[in-house]
Amino acid sequence: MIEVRNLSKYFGSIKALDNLTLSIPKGRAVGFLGPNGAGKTTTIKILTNLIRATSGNALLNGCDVVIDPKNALGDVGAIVETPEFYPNLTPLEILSYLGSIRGMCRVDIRRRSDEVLRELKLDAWKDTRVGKFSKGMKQRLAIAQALIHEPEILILDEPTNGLDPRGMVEVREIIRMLKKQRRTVFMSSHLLFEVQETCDSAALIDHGKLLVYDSIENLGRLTKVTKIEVTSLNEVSLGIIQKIREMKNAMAVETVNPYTFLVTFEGPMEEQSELLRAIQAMGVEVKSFSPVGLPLEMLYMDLVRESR
Amino acid sequence: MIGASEGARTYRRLPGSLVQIRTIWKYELLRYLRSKRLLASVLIAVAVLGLTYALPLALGESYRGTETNIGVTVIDVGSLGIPPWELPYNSVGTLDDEGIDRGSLKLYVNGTEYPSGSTSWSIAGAEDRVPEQVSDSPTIIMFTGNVSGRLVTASYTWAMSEQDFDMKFINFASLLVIVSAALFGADALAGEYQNRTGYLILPNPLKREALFFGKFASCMTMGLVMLSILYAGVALLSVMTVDGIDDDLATSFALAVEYLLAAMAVAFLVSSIMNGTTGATVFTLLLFLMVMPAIDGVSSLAGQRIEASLTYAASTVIYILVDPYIENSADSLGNYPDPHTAVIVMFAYALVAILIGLRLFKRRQLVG
Repeated sequence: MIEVRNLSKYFGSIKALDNLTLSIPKGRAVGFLGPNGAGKTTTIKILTNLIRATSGNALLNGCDVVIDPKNALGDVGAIVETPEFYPNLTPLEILSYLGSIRGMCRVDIRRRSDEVLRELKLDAWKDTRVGKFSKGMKQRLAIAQALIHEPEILILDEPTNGLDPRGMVEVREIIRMLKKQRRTVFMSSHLLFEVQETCDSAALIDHGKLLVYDSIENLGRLTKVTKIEVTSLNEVSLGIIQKIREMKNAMAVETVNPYTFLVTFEGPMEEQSELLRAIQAMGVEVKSFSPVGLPLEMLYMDLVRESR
Repeated sequence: MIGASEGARTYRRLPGSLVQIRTIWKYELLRYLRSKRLLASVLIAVAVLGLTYALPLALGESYRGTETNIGVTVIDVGSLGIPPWELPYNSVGTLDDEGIDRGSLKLYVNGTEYPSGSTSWSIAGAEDRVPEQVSDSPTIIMFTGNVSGRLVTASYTWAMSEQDFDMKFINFASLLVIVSAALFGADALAGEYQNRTGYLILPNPLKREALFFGKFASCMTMGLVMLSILYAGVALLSVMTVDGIDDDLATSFALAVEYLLAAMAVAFLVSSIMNGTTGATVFTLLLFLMVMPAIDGVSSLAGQRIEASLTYAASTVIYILVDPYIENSADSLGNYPDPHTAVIVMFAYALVAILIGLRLFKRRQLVG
């Protein structure tokens, strides 16, 4: 279980975290979202004892990270930013080093090193010095070191950062697998669909404040803004586009081509049918009328805009 | 499987800090070995030994040799105003060479070999009473008969004294200590921040003390390797060249190790404050090679001695070889620090620098 209680952090006069409170129950995978500078990495750094909070507490499995960092981090695997590795050591040596510090015996280190390096497609490079690795390979190794000791809690700061599309898919698969194993995962990401695909819940912060924290399902319902793509059989004139723009719930209308346009719509689901009827009444022969984009993305844009 | 099933997870018990210190020490040494820094350190120590030994030979100096027909300055004891019954010899002669092999010494008076044996002449030892006028001479010969006014010459083999031979090399011990502190200690903590490896090692279940002391132990090991090569090399060369080693060489080694401890602690303190490894290394070098010696030099010129200076205390590493060790006085070598005070001063530097460095490292945050 991860708990953050009334966490505040100042960097000089800049308030990075503002009384943040968050609780992640055991076995849940929670995405941590927010724009750049929102306080995501600051929160993760406090949880991993890299920086100290100005006030408040951060607890891992009930242990305060500041008071008892050794026990608090005892069952935690973490990736913070993109870590650098000692360039003269090989992946096997790095995993052996960190495994020993975390209390693994030699046999377990060997077995788990083989497993994680194979899974992360690094087994062919296990005896190559890390100094020769690309950014993507280092990110894979960062994930490997976070998993080697089979931690109960995983704190991942943008885990797919620097990976190619195939690597991203594989890492998401790994996170889904960890979720199935009832591990507690706390993952920050800029990729909203990644959070939507891999996590049970998401927490959105901005300016160091928690904006919303709920299950992905509920968050989708919370969104008030929807983007609807409308395709017509006949050409849509500029006059009609202008009329749609003037409608009560239409925030914006963008023309994609003479037959297709996008309506940014604010309002409950039931009012969308009224919009459809109104467009048809204007003489548009609607071929398709469907929401596009992710609900989480809509909510994110909505909340971040409001908070600013 | 990337993660084993819940039931298959291995039970782990977090290792104690001492075990973690040993792990960190081991892998830090592996890093030094791989980065060729260990090799460079060994080469530096070997180069110091090789150059110090070979350069004088290349420039025409030698560590031992044979001399023939060397004039002996002879003085009649009676002419010095000393009554003949006060001393058990009549004439006293001096030779400017020291390290003379007594068994090889032959004396000639007016070209004829003077009979050897204690009844004819002997070399003055520490227990013999000699006239004050000749007491500074490195070799004093006591003649039973009166040979003053005659031409006295000597033939002998000589070797540099063990003290002089060993001191030529041990002069570099302090430099090796400073190089070790700057190369390894100054970089140890600052590197984790500058190179971002802190993001890998710090979010682990270990106390910062364990990381600090693990790194400190590995840096000390590197310094000890350099010092051990120097002292072992000196001992070997000394035995091979001048047939023995200075009886204070082991004490000098112990003092050098203590100086290494203090210098490394100061380097760690610098490393816990500074952000860049280059800055920390340069600052440490400046501190030990310029700032502290400058303070010692200025205070010496002013006739003062700063007993609390680390570099002044560390001069015992070389001065301890001088026999007899003259405390609290000045001679051509400069001021000799009191060895007992020096031991306390170096220990105090080590302790205080470690405590402050550790506190700063524990409070340091990984930002940016």
